[in-house]
Amino acid sequence: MSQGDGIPLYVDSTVASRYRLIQLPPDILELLDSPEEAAHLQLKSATPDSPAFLCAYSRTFQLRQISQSNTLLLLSSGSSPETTDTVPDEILPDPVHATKLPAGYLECIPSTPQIDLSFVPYYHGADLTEAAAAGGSDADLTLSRLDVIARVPVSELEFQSAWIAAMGVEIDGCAYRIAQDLVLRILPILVAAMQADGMDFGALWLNDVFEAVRDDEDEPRAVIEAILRRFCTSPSEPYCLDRAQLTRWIGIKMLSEHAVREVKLEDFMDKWEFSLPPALDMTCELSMLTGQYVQPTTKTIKFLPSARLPVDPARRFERLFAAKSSWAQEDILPFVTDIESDKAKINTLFMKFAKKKVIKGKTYIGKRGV
Amino acid sequence: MPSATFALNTLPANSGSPFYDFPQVLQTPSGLALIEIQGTLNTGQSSADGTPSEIGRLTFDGETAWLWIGDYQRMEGTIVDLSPPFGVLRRVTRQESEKQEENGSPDGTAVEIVEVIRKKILFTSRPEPVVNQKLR
Repeated sequence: MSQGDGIPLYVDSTVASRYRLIQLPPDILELLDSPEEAAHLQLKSATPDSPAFLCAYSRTFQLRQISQSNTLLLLSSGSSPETTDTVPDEILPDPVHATKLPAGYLECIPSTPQIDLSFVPYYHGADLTEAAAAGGSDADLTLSRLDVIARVPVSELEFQSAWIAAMGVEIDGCAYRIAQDLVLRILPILVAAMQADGMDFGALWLNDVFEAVRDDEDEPRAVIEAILRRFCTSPSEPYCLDRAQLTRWIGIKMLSEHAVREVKLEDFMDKWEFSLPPALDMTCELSMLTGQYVQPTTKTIKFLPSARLPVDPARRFERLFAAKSSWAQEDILPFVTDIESDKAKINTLFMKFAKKKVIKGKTYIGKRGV
Repeated sequence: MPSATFALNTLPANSGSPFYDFPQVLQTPSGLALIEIQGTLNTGQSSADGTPSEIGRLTFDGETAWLWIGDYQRMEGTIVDLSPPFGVLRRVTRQESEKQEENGSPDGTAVEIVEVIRKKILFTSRPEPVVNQKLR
């Protein structure tokens, strides 16, 4: 074989290629093959400078540019519109044209992004919102739900669950998160109305619930629906009220008022029990609030949500020991499991950033050097 | 916020004709293939006037490819699997996306995967001298 019968290869280095390469791991190929996922595929980024994400219906991938120094040529056969130049016509084999691709390619990394909805304004109730609108304070903040989705670089399904968890609602084309105080006010009315109408907490229909509360409450249907969906186990009708979750939410809300100063455990439990709608028939147990509180002494309690602690282990332990210098191992575990799930690695963290002590068969985790 | 729709190209392959002289494994519907050269490609001055420069001639022998450069040098390459495969991305221009309205995002930007490429021709070695057969 010699070069004489070869295919001529032309490279036009003056034309920047219109193409980019993207690595397609099996998960992405799977997405492209599934019609449901592929229909939702979108490239999104929160701001022009932040990382880009490839969002499907249920999954999100972060895109990363991988650089490499090798030359990449994309070949296209002679009649390609990429190059329009004439080609010597005496040669028998079809010539091949190539353009240089930008060095490197895009890589897709599966990601579980933190969804930040803090830019969505709070909805404090029909009266207050109208008053604010009249005053012009929030007048320019008119993001619709679609605008919010466009700002959050995650898949449709992941957004849905975050939106439900944040009790997101769209009223007159404006997206809001329902303020916790409003939820706390509506919940007892809602539960009382359900009970009065003899509804089954395990099978609730939005229409019935809305009709039941309409006499006592003038909030729009969307607000009632958002609250109902937040505290239900089923994603669609009939809704099944998750009483334990509701109890926990009220507990956390009550506890969040004691983030700076500790409160007597007894007083807190009374307050929690008092705010709980009696119809729920639930008992308040401190174990429901695991990972949300610290007990500086056995008789006091303080709000300490693990979600708001630093992710860096060194700084997290520093904060934990600032709240309490010595923890029982089972008490401190919920504050560590969200940054490290492997049991052996948690132990390594304890060894590195804390001191383990066993007193009368019980393991305590304390500050180093004390 | 920046966003663009992303889709696999489902249009009939009209952007190129297949490489009739290429081994079957390198053929793709849209007529795109990938070459990787370990090193820099220096096409010299001739490309400054806008005409593409011929860098060589490609021949194939099974899984082996040869790139003949000038009269006295050739490079040996192999056809290798891309694992994972690569997608060739192209930004669909505004007019094109208007034609296919369903593909356009609110700001009209759309990106499509023109082709999924599963093989590439990889040249890893230095060019080696050859005796020009015409001069023999």
